[in-house]
Amino acid sequence: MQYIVGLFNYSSLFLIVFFSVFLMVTLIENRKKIKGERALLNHNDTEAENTDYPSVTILVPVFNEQNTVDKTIQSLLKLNYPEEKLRIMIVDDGSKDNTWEIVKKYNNHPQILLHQKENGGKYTALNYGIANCGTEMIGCLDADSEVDSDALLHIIPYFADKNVGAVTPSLKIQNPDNILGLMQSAEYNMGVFTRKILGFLDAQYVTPGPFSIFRKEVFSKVGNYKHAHNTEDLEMALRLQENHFKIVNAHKAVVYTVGPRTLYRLYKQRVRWTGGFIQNAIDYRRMILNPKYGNLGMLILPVAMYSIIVTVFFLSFTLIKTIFNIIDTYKKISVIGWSFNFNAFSFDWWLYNIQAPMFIGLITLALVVFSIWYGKKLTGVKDKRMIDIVYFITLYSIISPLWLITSVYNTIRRKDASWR
Amino acid sequence: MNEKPIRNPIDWKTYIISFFITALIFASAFGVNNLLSSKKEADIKGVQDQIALDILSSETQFDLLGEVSCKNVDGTILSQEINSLATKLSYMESNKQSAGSPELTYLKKYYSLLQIKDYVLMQRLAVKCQFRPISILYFYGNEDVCPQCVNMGFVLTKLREAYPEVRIYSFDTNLQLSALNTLRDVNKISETKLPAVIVDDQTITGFRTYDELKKLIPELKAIDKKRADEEKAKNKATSTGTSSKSILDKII
Repeated sequence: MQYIVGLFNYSSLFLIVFFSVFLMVTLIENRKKIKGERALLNHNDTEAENTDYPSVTILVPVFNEQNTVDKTIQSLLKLNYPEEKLRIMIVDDGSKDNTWEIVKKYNNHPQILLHQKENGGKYTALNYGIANCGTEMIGCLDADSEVDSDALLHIIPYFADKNVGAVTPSLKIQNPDNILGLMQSAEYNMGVFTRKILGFLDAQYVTPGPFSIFRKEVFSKVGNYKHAHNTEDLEMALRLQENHFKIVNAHKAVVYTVGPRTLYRLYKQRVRWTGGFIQNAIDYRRMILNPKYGNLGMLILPVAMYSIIVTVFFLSFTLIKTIFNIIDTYKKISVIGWSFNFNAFSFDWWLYNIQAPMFIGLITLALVVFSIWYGKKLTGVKDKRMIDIVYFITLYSIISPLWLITSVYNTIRRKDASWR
Repeated sequence: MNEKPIRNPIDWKTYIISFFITALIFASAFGVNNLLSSKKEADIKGVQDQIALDILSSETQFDLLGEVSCKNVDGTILSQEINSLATKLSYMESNKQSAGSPELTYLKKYYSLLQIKDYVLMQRLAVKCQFRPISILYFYGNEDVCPQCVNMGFVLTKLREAYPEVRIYSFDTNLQLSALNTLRDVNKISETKLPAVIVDDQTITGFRTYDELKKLIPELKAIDKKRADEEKAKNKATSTGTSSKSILDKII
C-alpha cells in the first residue's frame, strides 16, 4: 500500500516538474519570436498607416458598478488609437444602483454608445454588443478594470496574421496595497508568463474578460457567448480552440484589474473560476488527451485537471498526517511536560534530512520565482519589489486549497458558483 | 481569414527535451539523497568505532597496568559518546527510509554489544575503585508487544538529558542477539512485562512517569543536592568577590 502511495506521489511530482520544465524549454525555444514581436510593435509605433488600424468596438458590460465604471470609461477614452476607428459600447445589464446615471452623461460622446437592458447575465450583455456593433474587431472590458493607454496599439499588430482569431492581453493587479493584493499581484505576474508561453503553444484556454480582442467574424463562425457556468471567457476560448482558431498573447498590452481585497471575496472569485474551469473542461472533454487539439489537448488540459485532483488528495493526506503529528506531540507532552530542551537543537547537520522530494521542491520553487520575475519583465512595467513573491510562495499553497476543495465539491454536487 | 483554420502540429521535440531534463533533476535528487544517507551511516560507524576503541583502551589499560589510576576514573567516562550514538540511532529508527534496514539492525546489534561491554567494565571498575556508577538497564520491545515503550522512551530521554552522569543502557529485546538474550535471562526479564527498568538491583516493570522514576533512584537526589551546593558556592564566590572589591575601593 505504501508502495502505491509512494509511486503516486513521485509520479505526480514528476508531472509537476515536467510541466514547469516544459514551459521553460518552450520559452527558450521562442525567445527569438519574442524579439521579433518587439520589432513588429516598434514598426507599428513609427510607420503605421491608416489601413493598419482596423475598426474596434470595446464592450463594457456593467452591473452595479457605480464606483468604478467612470474610471474604466476614462481609461478607454485615453487609448492611443484613431478616434474614428474606436467605439465604446456600454451595456447596462439592469443595474439597481446609480450606474446608469453615471453612464448617461456620455450620451452625446461621438465614440460612446449606451444601451440599457433587463438583467440577463454578463454573457447576454456581451451578445447584445456583438449583435449590434459594426466594427471589424470586438473586445470587452470589465467595469472594474482599466487599460494602459497603449494597450490597443500593442494588440492590433498581432492580427496581421490572418489566422489569428483572438488576442489576449497581460493582466496585472492595480495598486496592490495589502498582503492579499500583493499575493495576487505575484500570481498575475506569473500568469503573464504562463499566458505568453501558452500562446506559443496554441494552448490558451482563457480569453480573459478584461480586454481580449476578437475578430468579429469569429463569432459568426462559432456562435455567441453562453452562460458557461459563469465563466464565459473560458468557454469561448475552448470553443475557439476546438475550431482551431489561433489565440495569441500580446504581452505588452497591459490591463489593470482590481483584485478582491478580502479573503472571502477572493475565495468566492476563485471558486467561480476553478469550478467554471472544471465544468467547462468536462463539457469539452473530447479535447482531453486528443492529439487533434495539439498541446492544449495533450498537455495543458490534462495537467490542469490532474493537478486540481492531486492537490485535493494531497491536501487530505497532509491534513490527516498533521492531525496524527499533533496527537503524537500531545501524547509526548502529556508524558513529560513541556521540556523545551535546547540541546535537542544543536545543529548536527547530519540530522538535517534532505530528502529527494525537498530537493525537487526547491527546484520547482526556483522555477516559480523565475516565472513571476519574467512575467514582470515581459510587460515592461517596472516592479522591483520581492515581497509579493514572498507572500505568494508562503500563502498561496495554504489558501488555494480552500477554493480548490470547494470547486471539486461543487462539481460533484453539480452546483454553479455565484458571481457575488 | 482562412476559411477553415488548421492547427500547427505538436512539436514533440519539446516534450522529449523536457522529459530528459526532468529525469535528470530526479536522478540528481536521488543521487544526493543516497550520498547523504551513506554519509550518515558512515558517521555512525565512525562513532561506534571510536567507542569501541575507547572501551578497548580502558580494558587494555586495566589489564596491562594491573590497575587503573582510580583518581582519573569516575562514572562519567564514555557516557557522552554512548548517549550521542543513542540519539543518532533513534533518529535513524524514526526516519522512514532507514527504519527496518539491515544496516540499521546491524548497527543496533553492535551498539547493544558495546553497551553490555561498557556495563560489565563499569561494574569491574566500580569494584576496583570503590565508586557506585548510576546505571539503568532498560528493556523495550515493539509497539505491538509493548505499547507503553514509546512513552517510557520519552521519559528516559528526558532523564538522560537532565542527568548526563547516569548511564542508561537501552536494549531492544527484538534483536536476535545471544548476548542480549543472556542479559535478559540473567535479569529475569520476560517479554510480557515490558517496559522493564533495572536500577539498583531492583526490577521495575510497566510505565513510570518521570517523577515516579526519579523517586526510585535515590542517587539522583544526591546529584541534585550536589548541584545545588555547587551553585550556592558559586554565588557566594561572586558576592565575596564583589564585597572585597568594594573594600579595596574604600582603601584606595
